[in-house]
Amino acid sequence: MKEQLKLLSKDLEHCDIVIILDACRCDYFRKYSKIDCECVISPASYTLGWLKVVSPLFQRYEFVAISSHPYINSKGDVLGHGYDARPYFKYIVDLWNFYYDKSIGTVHPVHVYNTFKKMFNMLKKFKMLIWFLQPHLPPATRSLYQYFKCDYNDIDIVKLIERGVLKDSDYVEMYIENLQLVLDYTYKILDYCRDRKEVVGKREINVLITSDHGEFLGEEIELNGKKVKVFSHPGNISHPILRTVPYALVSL
Amino acid sequence: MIVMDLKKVEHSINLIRDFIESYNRVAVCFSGGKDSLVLTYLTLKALSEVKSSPKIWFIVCDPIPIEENRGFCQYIVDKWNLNDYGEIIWYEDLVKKYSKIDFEIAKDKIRCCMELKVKPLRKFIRDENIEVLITAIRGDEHHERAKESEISPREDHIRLHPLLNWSLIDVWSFIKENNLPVNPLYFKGYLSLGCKPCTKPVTSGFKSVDEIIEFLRRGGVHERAGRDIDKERVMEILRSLGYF
Repeated sequence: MKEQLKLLSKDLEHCDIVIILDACRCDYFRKYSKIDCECVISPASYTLGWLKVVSPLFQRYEFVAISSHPYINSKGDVLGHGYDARPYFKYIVDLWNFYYDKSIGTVHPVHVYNTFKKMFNMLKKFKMLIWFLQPHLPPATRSLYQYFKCDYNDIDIVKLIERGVLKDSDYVEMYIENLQLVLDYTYKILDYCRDRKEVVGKREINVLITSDHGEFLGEEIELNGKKVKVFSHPGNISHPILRTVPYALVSL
Repeated sequence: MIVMDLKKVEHSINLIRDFIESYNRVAVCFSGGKDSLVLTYLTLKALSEVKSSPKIWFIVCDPIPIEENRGFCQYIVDKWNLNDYGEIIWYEDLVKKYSKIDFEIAKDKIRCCMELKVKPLRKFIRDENIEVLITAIRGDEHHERAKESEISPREDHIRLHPLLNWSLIDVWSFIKENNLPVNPLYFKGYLSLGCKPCTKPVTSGFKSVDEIIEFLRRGGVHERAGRDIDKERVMEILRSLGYF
C-alpha cells in the first residue's frame, strides 16, 4: 500500500481542493461511496498526529481552510495541544466557532457545504482545504445528546457501549449513517465545482478526497497480550485499521 | 514610543485585497470612528493593488449621527475621493429607505438598534447582493466581539473583520504613524463613536493623538465607557441578530 504522505507531497501541487472526511476507513468508503479510491497508509492514527506531520505540506502552497475541526482554527492553540494551525494556512474559517450544534455535539456537514459555496470564489487565488468532522462520531444524523439529556462533554459513546446502553451494532450503524451523510455533501461539493469552475477561471478543478485516520468499529485486537474489542481511535494504538484511509483524486 | 506591528498591517491589507479580488460585490463600513477610518485607509491601499474591478460600496456614518461626525465623514469622503473607488451610501439614507421610525428612539435599545442599524443593513445586503461586508470591529473592544473570527460566514454573505486582532493602541499608533485625519470628537473627550443618543464623551478632551495614546497607555478608562450601558449589556443579543 502506498504512503499517504508521499502521495500528498506529490499531488497537493496539482490539487485545487482537499476534502478530509475525519476518521474515514478505506473499506467503508469503498463500500458506500460512488467515488473510486485507493487505500493508502496514513502517517498517523489520530487527528493531531496527522496534522503535525501533514500541515507543513499545506504551508508549501496557499491553502484556505474551511474547517469544522477545532484543531484548525484562526485563534491559535486554544485547546492547548501544542498545535497552532495558523502558520500553515493562508486563512482559516472557523466553523466550530460558528456552527457547533450542542444537540448533536458536532458541526453538521450542511454548514461546511454552505460555507464552501460562499468561499468558492477564493479558488480564484488559493487552494482550499475542507474539513468535515464526519464520519467521526457523534452522529450528525440524530440528537444523541438530547436523547440522553446531556452535553457532549458529559458522555462518551464508547463508554455507553461498555455500559451496555448502546449496542456494538449501534456504533457501526451511526458510523455508516454519518459516512453516508458526509458523502452526500461531498458529492454536492463536487457538483458545485463541476457547474461553476468557469466562475473561478478554471478549466478543470482537481479535488482530493482523503482522511486523517481510520476508526475501530468493534474489532478485536491484541493489546498487551490480551484480546480486546476496540471502538473509535484511541491515541495510544497504531493499527492498520486506524492507518488505512481512502485516497481519491477527482478531476472535474 | 509605540510602533505599529507592520506584519499586522500587511496581514489586514492582504485579507482585504484577497477578498476584493475574489468577489464582485463588496461593501465597506465607514462610521467615522477611528477603527473604520483605519479600515477605509487600508481598503484604499488594498484597492490600489487589486487587478479586478469589483463593485464597491462605502456605508458611511451612523443611523443617527452626532452632527460633527457627519461633517467628518463628508470630509473623508471628499479628501480621500471615496466616490472614485465606489458608491457612497449614507447610513441615514438606508434608514430612510428601509426602516419606519414609529417608536421612541433609544428607549428600547434592542428595538432601536434592530430597526435603525440591523434591519436596514440586512435589507441593503439582500437588495444589492452583497457578497462580502467588511467591518472594523476589534476583539479587544468588547467581549462579544472577541468571539468573532476574521472571516465570518453569514447566511447570505461573508463578513470580514480585518482589524479583529488589532488593539486599541494599535489603531491609534497607526493613525499617528500615517498622519491620518482625526475625528474632532475624539479631542472633545469621546473614545468611541456611535449613534448620538447612545454616545457620550468620557474625558475632558485631548489636544493631540499623542495625548490620547498616552492616556490609553496609562490605563485610561474603558474605550466603550461612553456608550450606553444598556446597549452594552445586550450586545450578545444584538450581535446574534446581525449587529456588528
